[in-house]
Order: sequence, then structure tokens, then C-alpha cells
Amino acid sequence: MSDLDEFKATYFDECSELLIDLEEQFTAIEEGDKSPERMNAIFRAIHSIKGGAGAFGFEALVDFTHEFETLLDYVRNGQIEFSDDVIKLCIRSNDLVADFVEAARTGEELDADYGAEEKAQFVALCKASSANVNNNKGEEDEEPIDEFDIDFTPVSVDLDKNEEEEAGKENNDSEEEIEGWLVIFKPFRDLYVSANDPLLLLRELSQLGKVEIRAILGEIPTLRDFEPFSVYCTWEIKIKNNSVTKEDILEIFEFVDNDCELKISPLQQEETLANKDNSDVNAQKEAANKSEESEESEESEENIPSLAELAAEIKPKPKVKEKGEEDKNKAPSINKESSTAANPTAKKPSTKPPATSMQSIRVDLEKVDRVVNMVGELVITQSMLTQQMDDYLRHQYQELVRGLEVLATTTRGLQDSVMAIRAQPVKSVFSRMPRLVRELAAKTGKKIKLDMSGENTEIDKTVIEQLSDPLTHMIRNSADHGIEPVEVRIKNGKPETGTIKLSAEQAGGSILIIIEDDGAGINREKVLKLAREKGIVGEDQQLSDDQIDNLIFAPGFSTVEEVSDLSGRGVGMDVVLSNINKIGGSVIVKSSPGKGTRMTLRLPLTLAVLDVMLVRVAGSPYVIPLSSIVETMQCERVDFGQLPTGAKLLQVRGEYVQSIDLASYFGMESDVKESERFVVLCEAEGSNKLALIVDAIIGQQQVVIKSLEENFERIDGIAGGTILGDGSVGLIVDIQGLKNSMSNQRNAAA
Amino acid sequence: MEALNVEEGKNSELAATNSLQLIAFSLGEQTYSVEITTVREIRAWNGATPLPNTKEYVRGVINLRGTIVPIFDLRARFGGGKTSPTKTHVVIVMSVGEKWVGILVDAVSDILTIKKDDIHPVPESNSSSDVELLRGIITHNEKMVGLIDLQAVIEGAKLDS
Repeated sequence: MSDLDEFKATYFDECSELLIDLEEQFTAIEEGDKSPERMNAIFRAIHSIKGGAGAFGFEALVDFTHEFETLLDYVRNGQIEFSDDVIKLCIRSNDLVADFVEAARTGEELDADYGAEEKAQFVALCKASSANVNNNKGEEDEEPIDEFDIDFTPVSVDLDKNEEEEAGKENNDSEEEIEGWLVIFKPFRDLYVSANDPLLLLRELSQLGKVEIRAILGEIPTLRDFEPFSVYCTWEIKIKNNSVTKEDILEIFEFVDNDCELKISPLQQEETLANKDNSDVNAQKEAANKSEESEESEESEENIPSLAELAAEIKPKPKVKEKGEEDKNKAPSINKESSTAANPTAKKPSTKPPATSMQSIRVDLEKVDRVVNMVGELVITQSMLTQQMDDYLRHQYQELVRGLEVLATTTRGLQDSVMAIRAQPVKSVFSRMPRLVRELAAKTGKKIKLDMSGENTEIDKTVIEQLSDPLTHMIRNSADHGIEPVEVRIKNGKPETGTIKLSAEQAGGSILIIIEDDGAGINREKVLKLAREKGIVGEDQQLSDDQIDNLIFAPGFSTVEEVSDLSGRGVGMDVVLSNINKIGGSVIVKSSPGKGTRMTLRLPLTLAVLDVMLVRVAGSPYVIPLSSIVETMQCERVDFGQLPTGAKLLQVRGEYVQSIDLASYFGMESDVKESERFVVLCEAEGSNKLALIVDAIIGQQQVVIKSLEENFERIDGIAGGTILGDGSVGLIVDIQGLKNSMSNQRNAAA
Repeated sequence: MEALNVEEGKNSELAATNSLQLIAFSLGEQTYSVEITTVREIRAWNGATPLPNTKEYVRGVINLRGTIVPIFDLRARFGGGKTSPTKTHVVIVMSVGEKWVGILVDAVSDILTIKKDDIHPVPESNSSSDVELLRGIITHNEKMVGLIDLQAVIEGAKLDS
């Protein structure tokens, strides 16, 4: 990966974070919180997206965000009222920004006029507002004149442009009142340390208008003293665009604020710094041109103080030339104007990100995983050491015992901390949903409101990544099939607007994510009929209501006759189920006709560590996830019933539970007497119980899940492997898999 | 493990010519070999956790520094019945594609340097498994040495349900 690619990856990471933040801000604004902080946060986020996009040359994104930003600036300054219509426009535009970012990331081409409508609306709004301002100009002199901003169109400038050509143009332009700005950018030596690249800054500057960039190389040391990771150059940049404000420039340098000396002065007169090192012939030629020009006006004036300062700073002798009197006289008034124009933003220090935000670092997930893995091994080693302690050792070496106890506490603490690093609030997935619901509402013509709660519930990052698709599908399903059209809702005495509730909460070792709608509920008759037609359910098979509801997860099932754009390709819900199962979770549907549907996702808190019960089957160690164990019993104390086929049923508190002898199921022979064996009563998804018969129960411990597929292949009934305290491999029993295979067998037999 | 040194001369010769280095191991009276470049580790047999619902020749899985590696009983794979392994039996851990697998053999005997041209095709015999599991035959010290086709050995290890 090249450096640029790496920067790009970081940029897109940032973008997705910013977009999440934006979504959050807009949601708050939609709910009526129009505080300036929110506006500023939005403005900053859009600006950061634009900044990066400029640096990487994503023209479409720059273009759009620029107009958006202008609008936001007007709104922020109170020049445009933040009415509901404007809010709607902003929210829609925010979605578009997300699309542009996505297009930039994937390299896809969006239609040339994508977002053009919104852009036109921005411009119209801004125009209207500034026209308003101009009308009042006479009366209110203090009213800032931001007209310059509107005319602004980002111009892409080839940095290698022939400077002579430009010099020619300049002579023609010299009649203009103000030429632009002279920026002296002198990075500190360690600019690169803070991951800044002058090139990107310069490129961004070039977006502001015609630029003339000259490097002052006087400080470059001899090769012997040269440190490759230091910056020795100073840049002198002339921006020849009279509509650029000082703030525009300052914003570009915002991120290097503490890493450089920056001087920005108006370029209303022809200024050039002579350079000693003769590095730039073109620039010299140009300087010569200009001195000819300046000789015509003989009058020599004092240096402008700021320039003198900066010239002293940079050592080379300043050669300041002045233009005719006329220009000079004009200059101050222009200066004033531009400074007033800049004022409204300058007065708000909040344009700079507040330093109060939480400090964080960006770490490669792989590195975290490596730590997680090693901590896992550490836990295992620790438990192995503890197991080695027998009574004799305990008495003999009490210090050792104490040390081991401390080790146990520390490793557990270490493990929790490492897991906390991987944990992330579900917000990162939830925040994509409001947009989805908006789009769905627009497409279906229904009125839908999304209520979210518990966004700050934290789950393992891997789980979160796997959550996005299923959640999207389920919400689509709710909006498409669940919520009724407005007329139907009114007829049924329901509020016009349907509500989808999305919530997350922690319940013991799992996270529950609940998606609830107040729609029509599942049409059981239709579902059953379809399932029969598609052969998912046998003709005379009778199903309970719950079973029918869960048919929507059956592969190849889709109740919408016409394939719609939103959902209903028949690959939706079964994909949901398999995705959720893959990460060790489960889905339960509860529906009440006419009232709504509730889908509950149960997800493991983490994928990395599992609390398990260690058992022995035919001499081999197996582990059963503690989360699925209901209780354990001795075989001799329970009653078994036998079915004609020989299948055993466990009778437990008046309930008959299907039982599996793990040894014989796994094709091995148990060497333990029937009466000395144990029953482990487990619960699979949907409260389906299953009794496992094992030879012995060894104990309880935490294990790190290892994949069997990595070097072998999936085995039915086994969810994976793990390394036990003695270094041997234990196999993780797949409760759901066992349950499924039992019902498959039954179906096959029937 | 016994030291398995290769003479310097052979090494340089290897680079120059079109030759192959093999690790030879014994399985009963017979000698087989695998390419040395695929071998990752040779370790003594120290038990394995049996895998359910797999064919007889899958001896189980072992923990190799935190990863789970399946062990194939080569004798059983060749239809010679299950090995009753002792501490002197050897597991050769090899990489096949992306995967790491181990094969259980009686003992590692030698390192052979051969020319690629010295590999003879396996003659059609009455058992198709001979042809399937071997990539070729080499003659070494006037004895026949089979070159194992690892991919074929590890395929189809799961029991059909």
C-alpha cells in the first residue's frame, strides 16, 4: 500500500466517523435542538470531509460539500433561517454527502448531475439571503458582506503550471484592486511527525484559486546533516483570488496550526522575496518583470510592518516594490472590507475543534486482536498453573499460592481491559438506520418514525461489523411489510405515522437488540400458504403460531409477490438468520396480528472469550458454552422415557426433552457406566431445550475460541476448538447445530 | 528429534540444478517421502483430541502454539489399519495450500536430494488409491520411495452424513 493509499484509508475511516456524527447531530436538530454547538459540529464535520476530499482530488465531493458548507455557514451566521425546509434539505444533503464519500471510496462514478438539485437549492438560498443583506447595506454598515463566498467555485489548479504564463497574466491583472494573499508557510522541522504533508496542504490551497508557490530552500543543510524526516523548506504562496478570505486560508492550515509558523498578509501590492539560493529561475524572471514594472512608479514607501517582520524571519533581504499611488489609496478600504467580511467567523472561536473531546488513538484492529489472543493464552497458562497446585504444594509454598492468586486477578483484569478495547457502542450501526428509514419512507410513501434507544450499549467490534446487514434487512422488512400505508393505518384507528423502535440493551452475557414495529404483524395465513406452496412446510404439517412466524427466516421464503426494490428478493431474512447464527447469536420473532412485530436479536457480548463447562465424552474433552446451559443433573437421578425408535426423552419437571448421548452421536464409545454419567440440560434458540448426556463434568472455565476450519473443515455438531489448560485441544459443542441436525433427521425420516 | 543435517555440497548443487529435496519417513517396511519445502515442523507424538464424525484416518487435532492442526494417520489412510502410536512415533507438520496439517508416521529416516526427472509415474495398479495418493515413485538405495500427494491425502476426511 502506498503512502497515499494509506492516507486515503485513514481519510475514509474519518469520513465514516464524521458521517456518524453528522447523522447524530441532524437527528438532534430534527428533534428541535438547534443550538449553535450542533451547527458548529456539523459545519466542522462537513468542512473536514471537504478538506480531505480536496487533498485527494475528489472533485464531485469537494464541489458538493463546498456548496453545502456555504449554506451551513449562512445558517450558522443566522443569515438563513433554519426552518424545517432547510433542515430537510440539510438532512437530504447529508445523505448525499455519504453517497459521494462512498463513490469516492469505491471509485464509482456518480451521475454528473447527482445532487445538482440540492446544490441549486443551496445557491438559491444563499443568493436570496445575500440579496437581502445587500438591500440592507445602506442602513446597516456593520452587516457582513459575504458575497465573495458565493462566487467562489473551487478551481483545480495544476501545480506544475508554467509560471511564465502566469506571470504574463498577472501583468494584465495588476489593475485589480486586490490580488489575493501572500502566505508564508514555515513548517517546524517535525511537521511529518504529526502526519502532515505540506504537499496536501499546498494542493488544497490551490483549490482556492490561482496559486504561485515558491519553495525557499535556504535552510536545507548539507547532506551530512540532513535528516530525511525533517522539513527544511519554507514556502511562499501567492493566492491570486480576490474572493478568498483570510479565514479560508487559515482553515486549510488549521491542522498544522501548532506545527508551523504561518504568516498571511494581503497581496494588494506586488511583493516578492528575493531568494538567495537561486533555486527558482522562473520566479526570478518573474521578479525581474515586476521590478521593471515597479520602477515606473518611483515613489518608494515604507514596508508594510507585517511583511518586514516576515522578511526578517526568513532571512533573505526583502525587496519590496510599490505600485502607483492610486493602488495604495485603494488598498486600505479593501482591507477593511475583507476584514469585516471575515469577522463573523473570526468572532467565533468554535470554528476550531474544541480540545475537550475525548482523546483517542487509531489502532489497527489486527494489533488489538493479537493482544486479545495473547491475553487469551495468558489466561490459559494461568489456569494451567493453578490446576497444577495440589494440597501438598499449597501447604509447602504459601507465597507461591498468593502469587498465583494475584496473577489470576491481574490476568482477569487484563482480559477485561483488552475486551473493553474491542468493545464499541452499537451507535456506529444504529446511526445508519435513520437514513435508511427516511429513504424507505420516501420510497414506500408511508410515514415512518424511528425511535432508537440504548445506542451506547457496547459490543465487540466483530459483532458490530456483522450486525449492519442483518439490521438493515430487518428494518427494511419492518418498513416494507410491517408498517401499513397511511390510509390503512387511519382506517384501523392507528396514528398516521408508523413507529419502528430499535433498541439495544445488555442482558447478562448477551446483548439484546430489539426491532419492534406497530404495523400489521405477520400475516400467518399468507405465510403458511406460501410456505406450503414452496414446499418449505409439508401439506398436512400443523404449525404453532410461533413456528409460522419464524418461517419468514426459512431459506427462499418471501411473502411479497412482486419483487420490490426494498425487500422481497427472498434472500432477506434467511440471510439475517445465518449471519446472526454465524456470530453465535439468535433471532426470535413475536408477532401479534394488527398490532405489530417484534424481532429480538440475542448476540454474544464478545466473540473472543467464552465461558464454558468442561465435560468429558469417551475420554476426550469437550466444552459446552455456559450461556446455553440450563442445569446439570446426574443420570441416576433423572427419568428417561423411550420412544419406539429408541430415542430417549428426558423428563424434567413434567416436560419431555429430547436427549442426545454425545458419545454415540459422535460415533464413539463411552467407558462410563450409564448411572455414573451426567445430563447437561441446554437451551438452544427459541427456548428449544436439548439434553446432552456426557461421561463426566470436569469444571468451568474461560476459553479462547479457535477455528477448526482454519486448518481443517467444519464438523457437524462442533462449533470450534479451544486450547485447554494442559495444552490439549477441547472441542466446543454446537448446541444449535445439534438441535438442527436432530430436527433434520426427523424431517428426513418423515 | 535426531539432527537432520544436509551436506553443504548438496545444498549448492540444489540451487544449480533442477533438483528436489525430500524428507523420507518410514511406515512399517515401506518408505515414503514429502517435499522438504512443505514441512513446517517435526514433533514426537503426544496424543491428539479425536474429532467426531470424521473418517478413521483422522486421528484428531493438536495444539500447535495456539492453532489447531488436524493429524492424519497415514497408515490408516493407506488402508493399513489404525496406528497404535507410542512416544517414538512422529508427526510431520506440513503446509498444504493455506492449511497446516500433520501426518502421523513411524519415524523420519532421511533427507533425499533427487532430480525432478528421477520421479517416475505410478504404474496403474489394481488399487486406484495408490495412484490417487502418490505423486510419483523414486528409487533410492535401490529401494522404492513413494512421493506423497498431500492434497489427496487430506481430502474427503469428513464422514458423509
